[in-house]
Amino acid sequence: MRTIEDSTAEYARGLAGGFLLSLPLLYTMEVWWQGFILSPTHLLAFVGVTFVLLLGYNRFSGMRRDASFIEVVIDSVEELGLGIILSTLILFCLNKIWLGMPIEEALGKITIEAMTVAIGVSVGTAQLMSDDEDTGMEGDSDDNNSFDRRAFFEQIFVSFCGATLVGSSIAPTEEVLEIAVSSSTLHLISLMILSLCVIAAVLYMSNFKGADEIEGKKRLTNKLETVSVVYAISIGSAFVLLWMYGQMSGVSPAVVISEAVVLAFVTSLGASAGRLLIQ
Amino acid sequence: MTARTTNKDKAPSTTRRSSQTKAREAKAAKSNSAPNSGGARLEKNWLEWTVFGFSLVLVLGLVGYLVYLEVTPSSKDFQYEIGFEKPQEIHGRYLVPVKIDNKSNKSVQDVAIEISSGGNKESADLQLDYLPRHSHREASVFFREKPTQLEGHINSFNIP
Repeated sequence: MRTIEDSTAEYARGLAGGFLLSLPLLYTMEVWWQGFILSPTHLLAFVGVTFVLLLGYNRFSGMRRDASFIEVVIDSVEELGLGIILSTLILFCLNKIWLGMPIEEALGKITIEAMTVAIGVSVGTAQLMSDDEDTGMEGDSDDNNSFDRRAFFEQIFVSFCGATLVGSSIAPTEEVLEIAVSSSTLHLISLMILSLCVIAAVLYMSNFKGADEIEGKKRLTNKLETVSVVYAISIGSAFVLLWMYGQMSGVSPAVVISEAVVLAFVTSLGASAGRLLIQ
Repeated sequence: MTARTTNKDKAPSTTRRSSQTKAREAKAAKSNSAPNSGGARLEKNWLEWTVFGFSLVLVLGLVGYLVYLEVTPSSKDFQYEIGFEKPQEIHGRYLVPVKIDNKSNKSVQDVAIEISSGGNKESADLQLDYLPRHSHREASVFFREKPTQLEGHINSFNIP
């Protein structure tokens, strides 16, 4: 039986993959609208097609060729469930669903987003795993470990690159302003907490590809420090992107800060998961 | 997301291959040497069973609700209701909060709404991108004179 630590690492990778791979859709208003435009039949078909895709991917992705059918079904149901949970969480933080919203509209939005997130969870769990987990090379990373030995500014620069790369797909869109002006302080705080959790999960819980080499084994205070630095980079790159794409002009400082927090969820994924992928 | 098999017994390699090819080869080799043993592979820890159970409930609940919506008979005709709240005076003009409620099973797009006061003495226009089925939207309009006999009508919409 696998350990809780192994399972947690998989779920953390799934969380990172789910958010990272479906970000453009999570921040697209046309996708939110499809949730209440499409009929229940369409949504059911969407769920069915996604489930079949997950079954196929889990069976043929090369990671689980020896898995039994029932095991593949269990995995696929789990990924759909995680997709529903993650999309509910992010839609709530983005104020696209709220308590008191008619359940039909909320469920439509959740369904349409959850299916894409579920595929992201599946791909993220399987493909973003460190090679060490499979090839028994865990000890190697100690030799060229770690964040401490690498130049501090080099790490900041690479994180900034990851944040900019991922954030650029969202920063120019109208949705950033739309979400910022419709979000309350509570929504923004919850989005900041979610961003910090995602950074911590990617860097320290996921056995993410490359995470061992960079983050290695650290004390809790070091981990908190790194998470804070990565979030600072994320919000900094969000400000830079907003300025570059003209999203700051003609709006008040309060709205600019809201926009930055909204975009920082995206750039935090780039600064953590994106950084590990691009270097 | 269970039983991503690990292969920690394998001898360390002197070279690092960054692609996942090596990982997959290792898994394939392991799967060949240890064929599926049926029920034994379904061993999950409590966390995995909990996540699976919760996921199953969510997925079945979602599918069940969508099926319920599909089989429940409802009118396809567009029906709506427009309500008003108490006007509020701002800078010598009157702001009237408006609630537009879509009572039907049909979502509509580009909704043009006309609000009139005092028996068409004064009117104001509203435009909504979308009015989802069984949902409502809230907006506000200004009138120069104190509103009386408020009435609202939808003048046009598109079917998305």
